[in-house]
Amino acid sequence: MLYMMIVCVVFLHALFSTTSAHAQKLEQIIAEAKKEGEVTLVASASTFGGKKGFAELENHFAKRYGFKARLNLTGGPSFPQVAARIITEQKAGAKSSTDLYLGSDGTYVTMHQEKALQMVNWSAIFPWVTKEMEIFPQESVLVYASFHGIIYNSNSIPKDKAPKSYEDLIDPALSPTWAGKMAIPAYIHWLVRVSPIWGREKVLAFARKLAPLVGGRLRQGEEERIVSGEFPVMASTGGALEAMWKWQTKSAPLVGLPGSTPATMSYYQLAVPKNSVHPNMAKLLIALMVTRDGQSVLEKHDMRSSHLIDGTLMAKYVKANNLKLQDPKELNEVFQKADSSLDEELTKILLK
Amino acid sequence: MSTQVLTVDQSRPLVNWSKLWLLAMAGFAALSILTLLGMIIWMSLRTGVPGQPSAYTLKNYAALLGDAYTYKVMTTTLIFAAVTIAVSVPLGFIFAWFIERTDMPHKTVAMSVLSIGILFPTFLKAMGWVFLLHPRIGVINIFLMQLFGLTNAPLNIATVPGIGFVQGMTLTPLAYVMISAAMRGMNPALVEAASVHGVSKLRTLVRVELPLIWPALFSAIIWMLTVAIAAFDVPGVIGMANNIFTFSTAIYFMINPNEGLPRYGLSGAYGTIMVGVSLILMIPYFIALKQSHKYQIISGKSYQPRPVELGRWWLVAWGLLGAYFLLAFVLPLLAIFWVSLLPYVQAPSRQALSVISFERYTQIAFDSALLGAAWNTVLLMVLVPTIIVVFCSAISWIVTRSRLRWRVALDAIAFLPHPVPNLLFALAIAYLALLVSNVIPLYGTIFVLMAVYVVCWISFGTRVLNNSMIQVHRELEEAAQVGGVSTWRILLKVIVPLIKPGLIYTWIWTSLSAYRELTMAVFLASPKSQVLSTYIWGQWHGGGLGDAAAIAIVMIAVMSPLVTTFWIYARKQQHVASSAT
Repeated sequence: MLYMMIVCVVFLHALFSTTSAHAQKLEQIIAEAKKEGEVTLVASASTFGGKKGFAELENHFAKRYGFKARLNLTGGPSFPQVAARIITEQKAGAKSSTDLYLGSDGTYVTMHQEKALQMVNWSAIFPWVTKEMEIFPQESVLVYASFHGIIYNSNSIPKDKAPKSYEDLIDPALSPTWAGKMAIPAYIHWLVRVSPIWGREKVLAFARKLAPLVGGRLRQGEEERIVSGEFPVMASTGGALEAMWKWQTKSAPLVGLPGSTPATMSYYQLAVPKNSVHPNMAKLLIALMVTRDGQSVLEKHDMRSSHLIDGTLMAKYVKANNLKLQDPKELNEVFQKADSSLDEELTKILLK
Repeated sequence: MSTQVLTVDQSRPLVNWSKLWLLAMAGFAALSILTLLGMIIWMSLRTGVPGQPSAYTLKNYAALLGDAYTYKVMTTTLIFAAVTIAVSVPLGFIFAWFIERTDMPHKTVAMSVLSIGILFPTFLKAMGWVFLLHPRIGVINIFLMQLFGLTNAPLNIATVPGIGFVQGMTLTPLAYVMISAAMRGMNPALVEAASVHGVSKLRTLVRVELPLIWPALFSAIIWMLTVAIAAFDVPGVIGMANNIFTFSTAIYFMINPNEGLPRYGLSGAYGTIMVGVSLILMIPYFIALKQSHKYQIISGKSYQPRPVELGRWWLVAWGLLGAYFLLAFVLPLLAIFWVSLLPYVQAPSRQALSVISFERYTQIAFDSALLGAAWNTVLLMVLVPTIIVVFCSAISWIVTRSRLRWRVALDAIAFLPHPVPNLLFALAIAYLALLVSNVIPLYGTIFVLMAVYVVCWISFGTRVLNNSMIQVHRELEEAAQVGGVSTWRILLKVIVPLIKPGLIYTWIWTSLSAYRELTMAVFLASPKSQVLSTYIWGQWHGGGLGDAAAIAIVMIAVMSPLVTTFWIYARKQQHVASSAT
């Protein structure tokens, strides 16, 4: 009898909590968010325009939701490092360091597999969020899309010796210019992305030839180290074109180009970790980021935007160039099915 | 007078609450140190992340020892440490010799020049060195290449010896402090005997003075080695982007991986091996310290050794010191300032001059997160030294005033954080805080930082206070005891006033350490517990070189008067403490 009662209570509780999560209304979220009062994102210090961008977002937030709240950015580790921290904190039963998570496909697959994210019916709650934006349905929302590619300093590398694709990076006729001085990303996702196009063996052969040319490793957001000439070229970064657009407005000598044909993409998403301290504020901020106001802040400071929102820089670029972008869900499958031995091999070749 | 301080007097209450309090405080501190060390070993025997069930295993050791990367990191760390020692100890020795043993003019200024080096955070200077000596963007390299028409940069800071050189330059003032203390206590009669017999100054230095202070030099070498092994500042700022990984940065990536989950077990195995190595290194360190007493045979306070006359060589002495000050302090700060004015890092040129602005500084004024980090820093600068002084007083009182059997063990435990790389304590407390986060929600708070700082600097506090308490004669205390004064009152009214200079010196030194600290903070800081050092590190590591530079300059400008006042006061207290000897 007691056992039956416990089962009933557990069932009713589960049913109630699931129903309430799905039926949460925007007004309810706003009411709860008012109580929370603030939200913190741990990411690179330059994310969404850094301090300036967050100040502007605060104004847009107040206008859209009708109350003032503090939007905090804490400069911290890279996307994969933050993901690892959230999962660790969750497994340990601790609250998350960050209220929302920003990352790209590779790390989102891990977050999804670890069931680390809150289920939120984004498109049902926020009228301006479409189903298409939910890359992992009811988990993450696409905030900007980027072309993966090479960035280089045009003062350090003359145009005739500049790389035009990833393959050029290991071309013996060109590579002496950057041998021992080239930066690579601090993670190997960029090569996993290329693996469906090139195949495993070509990726590994490429990595083996690339390794002796490497002089350092940078994370996304460290483009200034290419602009300064500290490293003449970075083999790959998520958002090569946007980095070029951003730095060229400051008259900086930075060139960016897609590394492969077809170009590989990174889909940067936002989601709420299950152990978020301010989950409702996080939901509102995420939804704000996919409005025209949120996108305008991204465009202004980072030249980044989502191709799924009309009138944005990326939407116009895709339309003007008649580009067909990689399907984000297919890209997720690449990471979900990723051969872990390839990851290990690439890590051994490039990062150890 | 042989009254046993901690024996129970029949005429007094059976429970002496004040002694119990002291014992409890000392016991708590000792237990904290042992718990954290135990946690490192425990971590090494488990897999997964805190909170996950795991069987005890030696897998982590097998993985560590079977990975070629481990040996690569170890070799890099040893080369880095060797260069650090090769730069800091000889420079520290030369400066100590000039200041303590010669008639070099303006010695007080010289001492201040070296002291300033201790005051400013190492990572800020490391940032400056990137802009000075990087082979492609280093201003000095660009200047030399233009001057001599070179195609390649003559100097390269982005190498293992390069980062060792920077670490060595930043540790030189510390080496100077350690060696100069020994030189002050050296028996000058032997030197004067050599002089009377017509031995040249250089030969006297090499054959007489060097052997005399060898124990102190050796202690400095071991100390620099342990500091270099654990140092995160320079390897983090210069090494990480340039594919150079030392022990500290390798552990950083184990806990903050770019692939998969944190490998606490593996880092625990790393840590356990390092604790073992550190403790082994302490054996020759203690032997050297013991031997050093053999050489301290100064006959009396009135004895004034005749300083070596430098003649015109004083110019060389000041030239060296000036060059050091310029290289280790002025130029790195100027480089940081220059970068803070630019939209992106550029070498000085007419074009660059046309785009300089103070825009970054106006932005800083409205940065609430920065203010939060500054507030946390000030909080730590006040609370950490206060707690340390209280705990260390309790430990030192038991070690020096009681007859308890295990007081030697207590002293040894209090000393443990000294040889063990501090980042291991940070690692252990991070693991522990995560493990108990459901019960005690301290994870990610400023209290975790506070706790680890206190644990790590207890060794420093107890060394200073042991020395101070030993100098207070027992008669005063015993007289008060006979008069029925409680232990608390004896401590507060008799001992504390007498050891006040030592207490203040400990307080100020640990306060300054809290201001400078990055290594432990970078492992533990969260959005709510950011301090100035981690805030700047976050900007730097996230690619905001100019913003990091601007905040660094503001940090130095705002904190300098406070830090310098602290330091001057601390030096005075140190003199008071030493003159009481």
